Amino acid sequence: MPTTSPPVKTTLPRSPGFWVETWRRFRRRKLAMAAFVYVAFMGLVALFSPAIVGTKPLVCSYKGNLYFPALGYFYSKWEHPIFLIDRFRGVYPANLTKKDPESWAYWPLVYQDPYRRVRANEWPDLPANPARDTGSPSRYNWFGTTRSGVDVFAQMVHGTRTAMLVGFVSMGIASVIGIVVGSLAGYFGSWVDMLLSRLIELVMCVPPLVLILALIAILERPTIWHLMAVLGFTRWTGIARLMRGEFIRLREADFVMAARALGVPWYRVMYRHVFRNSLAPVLVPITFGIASAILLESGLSFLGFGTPPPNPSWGALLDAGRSNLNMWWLVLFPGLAIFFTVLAYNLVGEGLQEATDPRLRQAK
Amino acid sequence: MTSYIVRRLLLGSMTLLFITFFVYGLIRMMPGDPVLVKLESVDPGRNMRAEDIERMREEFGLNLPWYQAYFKWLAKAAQGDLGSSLTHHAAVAKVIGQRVGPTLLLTISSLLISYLLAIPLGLYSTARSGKPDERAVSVLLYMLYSLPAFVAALGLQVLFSIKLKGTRFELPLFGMTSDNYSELSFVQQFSDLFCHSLLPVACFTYGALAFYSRFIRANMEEVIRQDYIRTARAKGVGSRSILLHHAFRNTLIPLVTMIGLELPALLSGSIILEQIFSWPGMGKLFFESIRMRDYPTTMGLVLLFSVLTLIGQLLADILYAVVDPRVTYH
Repeated sequence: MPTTSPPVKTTLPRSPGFWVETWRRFRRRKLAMAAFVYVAFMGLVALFSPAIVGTKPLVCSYKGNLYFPALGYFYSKWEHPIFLIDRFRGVYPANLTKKDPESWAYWPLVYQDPYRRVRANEWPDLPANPARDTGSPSRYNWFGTTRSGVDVFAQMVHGTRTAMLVGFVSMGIASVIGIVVGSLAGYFGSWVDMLLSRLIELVMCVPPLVLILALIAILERPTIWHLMAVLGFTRWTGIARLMRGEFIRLREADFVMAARALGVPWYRVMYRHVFRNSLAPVLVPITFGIASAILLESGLSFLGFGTPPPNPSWGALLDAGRSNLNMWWLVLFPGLAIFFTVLAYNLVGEGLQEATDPRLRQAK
Repeated sequence: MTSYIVRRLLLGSMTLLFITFFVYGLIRMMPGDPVLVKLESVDPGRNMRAEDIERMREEFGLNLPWYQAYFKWLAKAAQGDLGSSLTHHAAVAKVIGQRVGPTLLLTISSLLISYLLAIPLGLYSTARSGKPDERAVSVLLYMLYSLPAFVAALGLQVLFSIKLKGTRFELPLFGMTSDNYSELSFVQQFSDLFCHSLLPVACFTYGALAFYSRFIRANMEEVIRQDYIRTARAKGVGSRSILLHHAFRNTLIPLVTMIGLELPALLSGSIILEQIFSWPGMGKLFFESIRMRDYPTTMGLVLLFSVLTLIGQLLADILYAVVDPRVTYH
């Protein structure tokens, strides 16, 4: 007599989401992973640059109060005005003990400054930085000094901040513009697409350096933020074109049709149904874009069109090396930094591409 | 096809109008006055009388508001007159014409070298795909691809002009010719030019070489997974013949369309590289004209670059239809 067993209720394990899958595939690629670790490391260096090298204490107790003068490296107003009033003139160690014998301070790992020459007797056992072209790498100045005696290692560490900031902020602006323009053009088609496509073509046709140089030349006193805005407003065309293509492809998909038939408003269809499905391919050009933004920033600084002089930048160091070619350390160290950073972002982009591309997935 | 081309050309000329209008406005808004910049460069100490400055401004069309000046410029440009350069005392077309040669010397030789080397390299890495030697070559090419040209240029200058100074391998630091160029014999002139162009050509080439060989390899990887390759293999065609005749011929399509997109880069050169090597080409001219606020020259160059970009894109699309019969335009 056949017995029918009661239907067993099985709960299927939840299938891994898209990002989990991508991360798993990305992690398998050793080179991309190494590059990712390097990029994360650079981010940490940028974030903690005042703690790594500087002449301002991280924390100090002065006349009974706690201060954080090293924050002044991020933004000059964050350095408490009391040090200006008490005429420290940027030299902390001697002034702290002289003006308040009770004071104490925690110092950065290396006592050097990215903006000025460190003089003799500022710090115990530290001689004055060599100036002119005699400042080759030594145990006091690991990467040497510039003509004016400013430490190159300090400038490189603080220049990391500039590079990372330029990469992320300018590509953030470019991504927002590119995604909005591309998705509007792709979703609505017809005359919207026509107009926006012409706009994309317009920006693409002007050689990038031409547009950037002209835009920067308009500004009387360009700051690093202007530069990022200019890069962001000129580098979005590739993202927009890709986004437009994805939207045109997905617009006709069944699930979008179903959502529309259910009466979901257009902006919701665009954001929840189409945009989220087209995000993966856009990540790749964004990563490559960060690399090219860092490259452009150092290139512009190199041409003397970049961040204003006191701002430490790898490109500006290279520019200094160009007029003093026998000071090889001004070329080698910033050159290597730019090279490795660009390489790392390219490798991460490549890894992302292979992790998210369904065609390559099936082949493996 | 013809209607497609006509439509693209009409659209292109509209785009061109917008670009030139936009850029003209942009460069007229730059601070600084070409007359004053020029006077300073000629004689910093001398003070010009106000009416002299005014006369010069009128001569250059600087007293008009920029949108009026733009249409004046446009009307003249449509008749083939790009005005005369404010810094070079010659017609813009002539100034540009003088700079085309040096840039083409760099870009064409670099294009030829990179194509000639990239095709065998790409085929080699497809054939040895996954083997240790191929991995090594690929990693090396990838590193070259990520190495910024200005970093490489400075590195090469330090190596060949400073460190190897006095040896047989010393190469000139910058410039296109030596000072005594006109006194040299023809053979010496040639070798002089050759020595001067070695470093710039190398810097122009290595990035393109890495890019093209990776491009060829990526396309080959896609093609050799196709069914007809498996068929060829099944019927016993040798692997060399499959690679060359069955696979490579089909990767030529994207390679050919690339040439169209290369067109603007051929003539525009590179601002940074030409600046480093003091190479008297188009990129340097552009940089100088922006710095000196030389509006007519800047506009002439922007016009040239934009026209070339648009033509290049059109050419790429047309070539695509020519080499691939599956593609048609209506």
